[in-house]
Amino acid sequence: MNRLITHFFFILVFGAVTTCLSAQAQDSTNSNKIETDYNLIEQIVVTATKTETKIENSTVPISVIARKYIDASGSVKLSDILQEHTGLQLSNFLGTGVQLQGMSAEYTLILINGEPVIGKNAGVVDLSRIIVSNIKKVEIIKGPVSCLYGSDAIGGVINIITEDAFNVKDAVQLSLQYKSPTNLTTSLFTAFTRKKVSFENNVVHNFSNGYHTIKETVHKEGTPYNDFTINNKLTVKANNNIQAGIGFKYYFSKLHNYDYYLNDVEENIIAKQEDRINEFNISPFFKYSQKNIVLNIRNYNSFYKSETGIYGENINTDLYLDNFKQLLNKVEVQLDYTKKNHLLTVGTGGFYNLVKSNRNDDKITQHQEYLFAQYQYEWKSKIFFNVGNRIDFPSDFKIQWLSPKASIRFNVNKYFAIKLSGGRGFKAPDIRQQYLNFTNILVGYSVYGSNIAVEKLDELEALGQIQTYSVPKENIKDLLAEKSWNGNATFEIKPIPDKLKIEVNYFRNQLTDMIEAVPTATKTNGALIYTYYNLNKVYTQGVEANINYQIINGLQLEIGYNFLDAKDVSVLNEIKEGKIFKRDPITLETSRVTKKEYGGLFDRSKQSFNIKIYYNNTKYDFNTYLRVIYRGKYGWSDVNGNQILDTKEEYARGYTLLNFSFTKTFKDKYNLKFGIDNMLNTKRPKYIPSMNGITAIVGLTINFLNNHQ
Amino acid sequence: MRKTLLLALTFLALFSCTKEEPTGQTPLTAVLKSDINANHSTFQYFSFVTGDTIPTADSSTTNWDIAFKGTTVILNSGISGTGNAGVVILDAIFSEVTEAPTTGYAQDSNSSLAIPAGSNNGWYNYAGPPNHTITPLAGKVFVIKTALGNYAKLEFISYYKGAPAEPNGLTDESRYFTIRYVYQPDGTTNLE
Repeated sequence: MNRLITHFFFILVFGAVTTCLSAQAQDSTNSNKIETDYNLIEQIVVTATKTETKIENSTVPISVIARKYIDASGSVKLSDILQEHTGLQLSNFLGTGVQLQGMSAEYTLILINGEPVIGKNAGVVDLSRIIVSNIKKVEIIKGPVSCLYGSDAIGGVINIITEDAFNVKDAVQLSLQYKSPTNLTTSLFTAFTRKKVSFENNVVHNFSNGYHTIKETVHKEGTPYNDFTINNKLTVKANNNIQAGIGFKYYFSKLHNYDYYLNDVEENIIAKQEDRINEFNISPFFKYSQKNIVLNIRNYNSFYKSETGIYGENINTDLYLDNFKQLLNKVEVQLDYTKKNHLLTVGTGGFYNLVKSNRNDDKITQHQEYLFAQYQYEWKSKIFFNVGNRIDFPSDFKIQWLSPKASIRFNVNKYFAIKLSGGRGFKAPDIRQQYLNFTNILVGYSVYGSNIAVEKLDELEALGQIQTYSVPKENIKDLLAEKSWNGNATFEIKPIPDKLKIEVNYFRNQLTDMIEAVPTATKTNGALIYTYYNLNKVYTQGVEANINYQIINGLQLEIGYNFLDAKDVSVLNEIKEGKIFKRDPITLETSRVTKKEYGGLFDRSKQSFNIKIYYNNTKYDFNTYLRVIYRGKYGWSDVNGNQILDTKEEYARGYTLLNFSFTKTFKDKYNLKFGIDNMLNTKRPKYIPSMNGITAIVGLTINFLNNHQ
Repeated sequence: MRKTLLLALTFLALFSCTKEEPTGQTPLTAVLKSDINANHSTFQYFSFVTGDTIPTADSSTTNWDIAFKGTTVILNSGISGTGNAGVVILDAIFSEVTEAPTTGYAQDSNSSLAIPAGSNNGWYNYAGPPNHTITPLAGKVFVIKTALGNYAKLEFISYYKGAPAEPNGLTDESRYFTIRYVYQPDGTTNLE
């Protein structure tokens, strides 16, 4: 109840503030409704090349989720939108991440307006942190883009691009949405443009009282949360050549839940968990463009703080406390030079990263400088060619990485085109892998980052606390970056140009030097000590197919299918040598695992597909959006103790979601939305406890400024 | 269905336990010994000769061969006992091991137990969070020289009471060993 009051308080206060701000805008003559159809704008993409490129000319696999689909779906969180897209698979370990081309979520680089989102948990940016209000579009590049973005861009890049006030002109838009059972979202978007200046402000409050999907437990599977986001952007177009501005973002989130917990005298007690996250960004930018030169200077400063506590309810004790602070400062200068059909891009930048956490001993600082270059060439709208590379100079490594990439597109004729691309990606060892100092007293194990492991083991050894080493101490070395090779081959067929497009992409990624925590020593009390090594080698390959068909004007059909094969190469080798066994849980007989039984990496679905039907009726001003999302069975966890996926008990059941929404616009001013998510009432309490059954959505959006037209 | 099967198996196992010891030349039978309770503050001792547990009072005799306490497994050897037991750990399938090696038997010492402690190190894997399940490593065959110098082969089947098909470290009762072994009483290395 308290939260409900806060919620309405919030609406009142920010309603007042933003209405004041937009009061000036109201007398402006060029008030316009917020454009909902971005067909023209979405043709231009920026993520794949860091320059503006037409999507039809792209040389790499790229897809765009346009605002009209985001709006029509009634989704609130970015993760909800992404899971409806071909080849994107959500993973739910310590926050919601997304796999691209079968590569784990930590190999997907998440950007907002081209800048990295910080504050990762176990290497993953939690996508449920990102609210989709104010998003103009989401660009998704599959395959590595380390040649431009450096670390983490192995599986691909997801770039969330927010609204540009210059496109919106003037707007005051209030939006309220309820999603059953307990979610309420309120947002207020205001924007105005005055000759050379544009300003936008977006405030979103999103909260949920949580819900149970499994009865008779204190734990709410849908965690209660309270999120608050403010986004501002001020842009000045000084003249035709110079544009400058500043972006600002504040995010606050609080989550809480209850669960049973074993305290240190092994009593089962009810404990409260509380998480708080604060995030703050300032990003000034400057752009100078001339006939054939574009200069971009971007500065990005991001501060992130999270605190997690687990508290005993009856006894006033802290069972677990965790805090994490990160500061990132980044500067990048980029110069694009165009001459006829040649486009050369050179850039340089650097960042400073500071982390302070009780997971590490001291505060950790890192800095890194880099250079990148890219050359694009176009020949008579037939051939498009792109080659790029980047070099990184990190402070705590001696190694400089080369991350080349080359791609080409042939437009054979108006019906047929081929895209080929190949390149390298890398992921730098993260702070956790280098400096973590973590001991779980309850369960009794310790994990040390590789940079401090030897020192820690020496200390314990001097105290006589080490019983045995399972890995010799000499084998602990400074970690190398994880590196990948990727190849993509895309065939684009347009049987009916501008109406029907069929795209088939074959991909393969090969990742080496994967960093993994391995038990290294056993303490005299039996507790294990883990540290990190560059060990494994995996590959992912598959085929992604998309059909996009505009059946009649306003009726759009999309079908996507993804086939994936993702395996650990060292496991394959051990199977070949007959070194991996399994025990049948019923007969208790042991046998050798065969290559055929090996199901590959966990949390990967061999098959998945989606069907989306969007219908927009301009005569009666309504749209409907129907989505079917299927995820095939996937590896859940090892049951028979051999660490690999090889028996049917180790798979999680697949699922199908059917989501539908209907939006009706009245008088160009009111938008009324009804939706039902998960119409089939699919539930997977064992695997995805938070999956709610049938979910109702009701929303209202009011465009205030349209009144004045 | 699975539970009935398991129950049937347990009965079978019990039945085979009560069978008299194989004598001399007849092929040896594998014995499935269920739920050896290792949930004590002291070790639970076990003898391949009697096929049963041995009281703690006999801990300093050669009446026992192997003992269990939590995940720790000791042999009647070195620092653990007065016997001359030892183990060779093989990566193999239980039925494939037909002959005990003649050398290479490790004994319990101050630096390391013959069956080492730790996940993926000796006989089990520890899954860690969320369920913290202990699973015996499949394909590990422990060829044991007994306290009196005979040979046996052994594999670990389960660490949980009733050997559930899908054990859960949080909810199942742990520290109950189910093992399968073949004991050769005639002193030869033949384990077939």
